[in-house]
Amino acid sequence: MTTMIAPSELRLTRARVGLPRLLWAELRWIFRRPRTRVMLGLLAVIPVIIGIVLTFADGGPTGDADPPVFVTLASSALALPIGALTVLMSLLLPLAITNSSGDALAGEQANGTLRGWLLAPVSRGRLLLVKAFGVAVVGLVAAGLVGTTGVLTGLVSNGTDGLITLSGTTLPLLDALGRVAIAVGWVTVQLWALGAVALAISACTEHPMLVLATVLGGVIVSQLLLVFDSLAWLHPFLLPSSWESMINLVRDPIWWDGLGEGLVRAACYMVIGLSLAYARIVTSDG
Amino acid sequence: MTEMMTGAAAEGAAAPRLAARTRRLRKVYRSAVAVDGVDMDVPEGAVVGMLGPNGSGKTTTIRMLLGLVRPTEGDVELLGQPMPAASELSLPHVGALVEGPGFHPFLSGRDNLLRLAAAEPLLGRRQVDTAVTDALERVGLADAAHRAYRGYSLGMKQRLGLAGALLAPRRFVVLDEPTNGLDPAGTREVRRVIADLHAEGVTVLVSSHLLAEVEATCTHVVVLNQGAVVAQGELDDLLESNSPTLLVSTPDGPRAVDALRDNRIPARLAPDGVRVDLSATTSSSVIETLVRADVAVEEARRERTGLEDLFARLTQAEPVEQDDVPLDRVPELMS
Amino acid sequence: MQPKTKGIAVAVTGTTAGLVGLLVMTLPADADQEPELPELSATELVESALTAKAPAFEGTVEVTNDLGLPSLPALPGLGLANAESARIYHDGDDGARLSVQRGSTEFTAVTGPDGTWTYDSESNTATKYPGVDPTETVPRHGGLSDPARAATEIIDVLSDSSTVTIDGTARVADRDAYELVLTPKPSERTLLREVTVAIDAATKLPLRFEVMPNGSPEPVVSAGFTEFDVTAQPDELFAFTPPRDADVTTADPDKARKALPKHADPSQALDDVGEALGGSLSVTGSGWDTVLTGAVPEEAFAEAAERLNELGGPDGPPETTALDVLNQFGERFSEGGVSGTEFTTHAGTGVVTDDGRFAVGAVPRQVLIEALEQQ
Repeated sequence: MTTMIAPSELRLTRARVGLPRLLWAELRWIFRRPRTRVMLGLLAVIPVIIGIVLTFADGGPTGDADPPVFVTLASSALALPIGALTVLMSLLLPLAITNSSGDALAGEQANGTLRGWLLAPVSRGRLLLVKAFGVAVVGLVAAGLVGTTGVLTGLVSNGTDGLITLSGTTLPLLDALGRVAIAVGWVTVQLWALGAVALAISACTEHPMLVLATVLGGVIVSQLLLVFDSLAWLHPFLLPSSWESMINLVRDPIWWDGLGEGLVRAACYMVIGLSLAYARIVTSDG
Repeated sequence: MTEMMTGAAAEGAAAPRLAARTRRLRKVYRSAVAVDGVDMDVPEGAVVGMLGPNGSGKTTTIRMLLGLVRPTEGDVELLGQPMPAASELSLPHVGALVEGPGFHPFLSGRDNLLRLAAAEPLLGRRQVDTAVTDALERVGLADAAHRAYRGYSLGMKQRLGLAGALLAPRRFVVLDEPTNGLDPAGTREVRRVIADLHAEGVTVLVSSHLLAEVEATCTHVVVLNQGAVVAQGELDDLLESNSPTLLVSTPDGPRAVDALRDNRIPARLAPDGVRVDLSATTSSSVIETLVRADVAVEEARRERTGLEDLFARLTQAEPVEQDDVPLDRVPELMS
Repeated sequence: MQPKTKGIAVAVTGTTAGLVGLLVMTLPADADQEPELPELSATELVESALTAKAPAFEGTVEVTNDLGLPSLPALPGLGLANAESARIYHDGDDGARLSVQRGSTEFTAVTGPDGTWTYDSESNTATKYPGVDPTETVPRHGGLSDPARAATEIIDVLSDSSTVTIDGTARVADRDAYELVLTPKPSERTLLREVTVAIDAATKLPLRFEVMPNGSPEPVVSAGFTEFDVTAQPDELFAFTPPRDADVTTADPDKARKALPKHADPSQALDDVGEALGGSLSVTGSGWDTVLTGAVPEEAFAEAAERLNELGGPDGPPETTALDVLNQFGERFSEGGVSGTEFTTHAGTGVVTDDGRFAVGAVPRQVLIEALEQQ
């Protein structure tokens, strides 16, 4: 038997990794993930496709009762990005954020990688903070990409002088860019609300697909419920009920009512989602 | 049987410092009791092997030790700190490979370790890179460092998990089934890593179902069965405390057993012959009895009880025939 | 157990806070509050409303109707609670701007020192109305020289059929307002209970107009501000330059007058509508039980029938005839030698007789038939 060696003289000191280091590691991980890249690439390409289709198909409105704004309004650097954001908001952008939330906790749990950080140790509160930050950045990047390629496509196909609003006024370029920026910011906040709810579900399961199915199902059902006037009492509780007010950014002057309400609604969803996610993550067994 | 207590205490020296200690540890999942009143000591500097059949509560105990699971009842101390309350103090000094390696398939082995290392409080920003390189070398993965984890073999994955546990300087390393999926060379490698850690004075807790593995590497053993500790202590003490055995090779095993039992000598049939308990008799009288009963004896040799034997006696649900120590009394005797 | 308690506490607090937040948003900002305002008589209120000059403001107007119109079976839920909203800007002088939201399109009307324009984003057309003095269409209250006398006159006229009172106060668009209520005299045979006009206490501008039916607390028609802010408005809101690609047309000044929102002479409007329908309209009765009668243009139902056939598609029900259309939405009746189809809504009744006449009014069927018999 080997002789007992005197216990090492390392003293236990409270050591903590700086938050920026964790956030950076999280971002590296998210953006190296092939799935994230494909998703973001797809989102970036869609406004370009819409722009090309509109340029060559000469935008004859469809039989749709309420065609998107880039159809009713000449494809411009203003209407294209905002219209693209509105259209993508109905499925693809929520998909991107939910996917990211699902990977953040459920996916990591399934891979057994969450343990690694918990044992480092990263406290559970900080872990949620880092995860929420990562999801938030994905939301911002997704919305930002759509906005950016939308503006660029609009500028290439229509130049800088066709920035027409629904009210018939023509905006200076800087003003139009400001509005697209507002749209991107607003969509980002809506995505954060979805992301927070998705994180709460993600904290409860090991299956990222379950997160995806639940949240996207919720989004689709909400949008369906919004069609029924008889459920008007329910509508203010549904997150997508303010998504249509994005069109108000293409009016002059901007109608802020619906947009402001949408932010408050998103904030409520965020508070609910994050508090449930926190409660779950601090009580769950890792 | 007092000398079966943890060695040092019996020798009258000051109680050794403990790297980990659990008291009345209990974990109840919704329907099942996974761990039921575990009192476990892991002395500093020791290599403790944790043994137990599947479902005996090994992994749950380890998870509670590391603060991954909150105990239903009882206390855990890790490096002298209460868990999970003071995990920020103790866990940086603890490396662990629990429930198999957990890594991202799309990242290379090195990137996986870099991500893990980013969260290690003991590694400064500039040390991360070297620490990862060292850990990869230590487990022999330097060549495969840049390949995607997805393409790793089971053994390579296991080794990467080991590397993850050894990223920072540790005082205590917990390895849950570290040789799982490893070929003999890999197993030797792990054995060497454990020996190195031991030489550095690092405490190691290894759970394994490979008894030979534990026998070869451990200084101490903890045996769990059905969520409770059935034996723990220094490996040598535990093995010696068992009654000596005579292994008799004979072409007519059953008859030999009958003959011995007729003479009130405990014996049982083993694959390689007949095992005879020598605690109440001597080798010569055994041989004599057999010869008188006309049983051919080809070979007879004294045998030190193997860990396997000990393990079998401690954990089998039904006592092996004529076992001299009833199973339910074992814990009392041991502690 | 501590983190568990903490976790539950956080979950409960967070969820409650979020739900309360969502709930608060559903509550109308000015629910059932009755602000304290100095006492005014109805005449005084009408007088001050007549003399009031609109300040610079911006506001959102919402028009909802709950007429209970029969809806097309193919489009369930449609028409139950139609809401349309518009935004109004006023510069406190002659400039005004109106934007009507229609899904992803918008109709804008701008009138300012440079003239009057309308812009329709759906067709991308801008129309200029030359020579139209925007103030012309805004009623100057009939050139009433003495608002006090005018107010008395108006109240007198209304008093023939209604009781005019101030029924307390209300909060409309987050502002204090008087509620002027017109209640039909008992002799009036109407389906309506009352009409209320909320008049802003500070500016004396009407903020909300509601028509209440008998037997329901919900207005059948409501038009009013949901937002009303008295603040200076930037000048560029009241000027208009048509966008680059728009079709720009100049409207005939005469037609222009009609195209603008009509506060014009009601009899003139009646003639216009009658002309459009290809027949003449006449009015029977006065006050609340006024009935409008006329002849049904033949094409009207043929067109409707065709529309329904299209909706049904090739696999739809067999060819719909004009009579089917009527019967689909109304009920057959026969009374006092008149037979036809009756339509009822929350606010009124309409009948179409088999000999091609119609009558509508905010009255029960019996009154309509009397009116038809007088023809």
